Amino acid sequence: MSKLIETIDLTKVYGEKETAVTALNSINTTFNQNQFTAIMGPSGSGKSTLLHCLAGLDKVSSGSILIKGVDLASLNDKQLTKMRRDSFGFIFQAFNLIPTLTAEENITLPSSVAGKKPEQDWVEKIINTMDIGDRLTHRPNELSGGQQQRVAAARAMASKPEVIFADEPSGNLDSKSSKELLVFMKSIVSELNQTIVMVTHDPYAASFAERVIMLKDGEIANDLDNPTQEEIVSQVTSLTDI
Amino acid sequence: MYGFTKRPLFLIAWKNLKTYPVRILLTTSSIILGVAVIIASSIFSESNKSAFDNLFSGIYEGIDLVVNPVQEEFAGDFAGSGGQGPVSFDLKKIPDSKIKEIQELPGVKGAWGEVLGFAQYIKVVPRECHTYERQCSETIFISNGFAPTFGGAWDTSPYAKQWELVEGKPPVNNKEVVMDVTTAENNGYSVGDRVTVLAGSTPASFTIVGIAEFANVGSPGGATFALFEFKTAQRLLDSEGGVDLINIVIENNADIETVRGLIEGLGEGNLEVINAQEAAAEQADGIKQGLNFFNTILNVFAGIALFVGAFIIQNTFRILLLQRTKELSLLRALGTSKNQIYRLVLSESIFMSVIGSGIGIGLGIGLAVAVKEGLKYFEFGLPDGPLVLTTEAAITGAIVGISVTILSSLLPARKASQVSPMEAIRESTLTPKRKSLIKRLIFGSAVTTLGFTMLFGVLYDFLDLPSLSGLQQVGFGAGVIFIGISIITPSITKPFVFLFDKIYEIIFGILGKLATENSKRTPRRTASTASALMIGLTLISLANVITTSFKAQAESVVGEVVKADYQVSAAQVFVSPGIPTGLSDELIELEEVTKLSRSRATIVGYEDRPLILGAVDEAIFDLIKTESISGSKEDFVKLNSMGVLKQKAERDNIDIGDEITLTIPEEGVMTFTIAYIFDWTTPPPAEFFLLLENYTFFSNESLDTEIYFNVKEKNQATQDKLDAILSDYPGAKLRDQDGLVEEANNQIQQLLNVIYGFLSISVFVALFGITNTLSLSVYERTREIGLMRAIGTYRKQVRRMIFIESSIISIFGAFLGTSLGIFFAWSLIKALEEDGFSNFTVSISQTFTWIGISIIAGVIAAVLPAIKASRQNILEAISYE
Repeated sequence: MSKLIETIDLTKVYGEKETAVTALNSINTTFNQNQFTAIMGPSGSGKSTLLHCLAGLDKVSSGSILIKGVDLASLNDKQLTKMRRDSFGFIFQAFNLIPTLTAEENITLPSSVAGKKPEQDWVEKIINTMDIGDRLTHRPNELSGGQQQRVAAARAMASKPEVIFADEPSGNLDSKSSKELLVFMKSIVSELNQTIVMVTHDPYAASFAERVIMLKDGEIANDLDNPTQEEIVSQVTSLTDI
Repeated sequence: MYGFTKRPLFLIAWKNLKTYPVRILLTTSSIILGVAVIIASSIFSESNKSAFDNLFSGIYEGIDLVVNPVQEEFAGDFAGSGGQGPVSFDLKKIPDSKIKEIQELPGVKGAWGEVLGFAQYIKVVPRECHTYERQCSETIFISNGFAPTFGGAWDTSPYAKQWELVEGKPPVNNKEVVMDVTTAENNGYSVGDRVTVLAGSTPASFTIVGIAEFANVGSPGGATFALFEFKTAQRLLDSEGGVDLINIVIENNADIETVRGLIEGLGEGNLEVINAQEAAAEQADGIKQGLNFFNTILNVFAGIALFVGAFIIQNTFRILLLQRTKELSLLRALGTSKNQIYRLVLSESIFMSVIGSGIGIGLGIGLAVAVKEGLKYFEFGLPDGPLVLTTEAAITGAIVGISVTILSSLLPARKASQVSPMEAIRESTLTPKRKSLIKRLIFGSAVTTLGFTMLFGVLYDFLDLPSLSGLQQVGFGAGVIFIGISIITPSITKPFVFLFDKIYEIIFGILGKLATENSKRTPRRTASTASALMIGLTLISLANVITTSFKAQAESVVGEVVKADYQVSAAQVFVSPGIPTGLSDELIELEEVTKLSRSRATIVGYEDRPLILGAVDEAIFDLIKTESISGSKEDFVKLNSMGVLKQKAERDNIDIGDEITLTIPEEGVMTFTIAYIFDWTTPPPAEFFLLLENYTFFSNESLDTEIYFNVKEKNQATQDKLDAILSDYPGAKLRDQDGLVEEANNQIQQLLNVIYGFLSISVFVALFGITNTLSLSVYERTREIGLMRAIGTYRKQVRRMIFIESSIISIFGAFLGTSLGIFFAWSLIKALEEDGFSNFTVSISQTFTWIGISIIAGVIAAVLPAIKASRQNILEAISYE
């Protein structure tokens, strides 16, 4: 498994002087290709900040993030935008879809704004995997929450990105839809060779990942390989208890 | 003890406004503009009124009585109207011997005569020669804008305070002139220079010996003044041995009425004596009425701007409140009543209206200063004076601004008060619930149909409302159609945008698709934003089509009606209402001229009213298109026969064989028999005509009003000969057919430009509306735009999307407005068909130019929202609340 993302002394500070809050404190880690990683931690641990920095949505205060050896800080807004468009995919907790576009148009939106034709076979494969073939002409408000998130996942993959960033993707879903989505996500890593970095506070969701990074107060508290749900729960409990 | 807020809602309203000052500006921008125009127009007319007050009190300063000659009854009407017509007529003068007689009356301190007439400064400037020309100079008529050009006598009386020398000395002989300071400054003349003055019919050269100022205002009403030595003035201004009026200053202890009686006795019924100060007030009032008309026009345009503004305010309020749905529903959840919410919103709108109107008044003052300076720059002669803002004007402006704002916020406030307390708890969906537009469509269609019925009813004679004239019914119908269309627009937004869908998607890809979808998402908002633009464009395209049609009409009329090769008319009707007859004599002698007709006119009495009696040569019937209604021109040329225009004959029921008795000055009563009724399609110089050569009394006239003639061959040699003759008559203007058409078109174009200028204010207001709508729509779609940016949309692409959206709104508005305007223009011309308007021409290029301008303006209006959208912080946009 090759190294896709590498963080070196990644630090993020919000505010200045007395009001300064260190959200991330000297994070050193790597994310490998074709792996499903979950980032966990209690509220305020910096997990979302880490995801936003990795995805180039937020700027780091010091240290660097290398995507395939390229430092994100060296890119201007245009290059960063291109990077997000061509190399990253995104699934957010809510508001993933443009309400005026159909499911299909939402899925192909990144290629559309790039002015490229989506790869037909690949898109078809994703749509089949996500089981949304019969929903393509519907608008988001005609879809259930689970269907909306599956469309979002399909969109995230449609342009064959290097990595998909997911921010609490199952946070707004009932348990059934939540499980369905996570199963789909797991299958796209194993079957379609995708890479996913997911932030979650839900141990159940994290248990679908191959690797779980635990954050606390802006630092890595633990790094688990293929943990079970029970292991995660006990880790989370020990982190919150202290 | 915790604080207790007595008026919590008032506090919330106030805090809201304090926190978002930009909102106030955005919402009230249109009101600010509308109020500004009202204030500016009021300042403008009030200032001019006070300036004219000053002017007239200046004219009569220090004067107690003014003696005027009693005019013959019918001529008096003309004198009162300014006496400037296409005819020259003799006003009675006071013999100058009377001055001395009056001076010797008891109680009279001083008396001096005034001579006033038209005189024109002429500047002859060399210009580049065309190859065929011998004489290469251009004659420029010096004037201050549209103000008249006067000549007068220099008052030598020690009591005369009107003119004061700024420089030099008074004129003492027939070679000297004193120039008013305004003209001298504007044209760079100084003492010692030589200047040519055209007074009467022949120009002469004078030396400027002095520069004078009139009652501290430079020159009265911006007129140019040439002041001559008394005898010279009398000779030049057609006043030999007489004066136009006598100014009188009485002794301090004399009774004004007694002196007045004495003078009237002296005049034996030929002199009219008026109180100078009363006359000052009267004359100023006359001019003020003229200014009121101008003020009314300005107010109409301000009204249009405010009407457009009302659309925009309502729109903006609705959007602002939509944004605050959560806040308002939270208030509801906390136990605030619907009524309280309603009052909260209204109190905010009151705050805004007060602030907006205040800014509007301030801006109006600035606008008035700008207009005044602008007019000065274009030398549009209006008297100088301070700017006057009356309290009434300020109050009117404020009341109009405040009430329009509050009225436009009533509906949105009502809607806001209906918000459910559940909204605060529920996951927010910013898209409003879509109410069916069907009801709206049905109602709007009914109104529109009603309007069309009224309009076509009168045009095709199946419905004639008894209480309205045909034209009124057309106007009323057009108004109803307009309202109907405004009601329908939200319902037709979708189908209209649908037309764009495919084209925009092909041209702009997914961005085009997103933009069209967004316009369809909020059809009401898109429609009301477009409606604001529609109003301006309707009026612009109406004005455009009407004038284009008039131009085309003028062209065909000139081509059809004037069959002569050339026409000569007076260049400056103020200076000389006609052409010295010497010119027609010279032209008749010229061998190139084959056929020529002179038109002359004189004032006669007809049924105790003044009447212009015209005379023409027989050749006129070949040179101008006339249409015989009854009788014949063979009879017309007989002695004591008279021709009459069709319109006059119809109006007064005159028929062939009728006898018309006229009082002809110095000839007495003469009776003529109507022998010919005819139609004359150009503006006719008179309604009754005689054959010129039959009557000697026309020879007394020194002027022709017009000359038409044909030449053997229209070529350069002929043109050169004509130019050479004409160069001796600077007051005459020679034009061929092309020249006539061009002149008519220029006049129409000037009028159109003024209308465009005013209407662009309403378009400007509409653009504010587009900016408002777009920036709020950008605000609403914060998350959407953030999401698009997150998944890799360039800033440039976000901007482009907003521009595309703006173009849809402006195309929609421009399209509706242009179509309506063209249709209304067609109806108007159709309604005027009986009055001789037949030509309906739409200038495709102008129409598309205006649509193009609207689109470009729409895109400019989108610049700020687009920049704002593209700079949106992605994290803020996508982060979950």
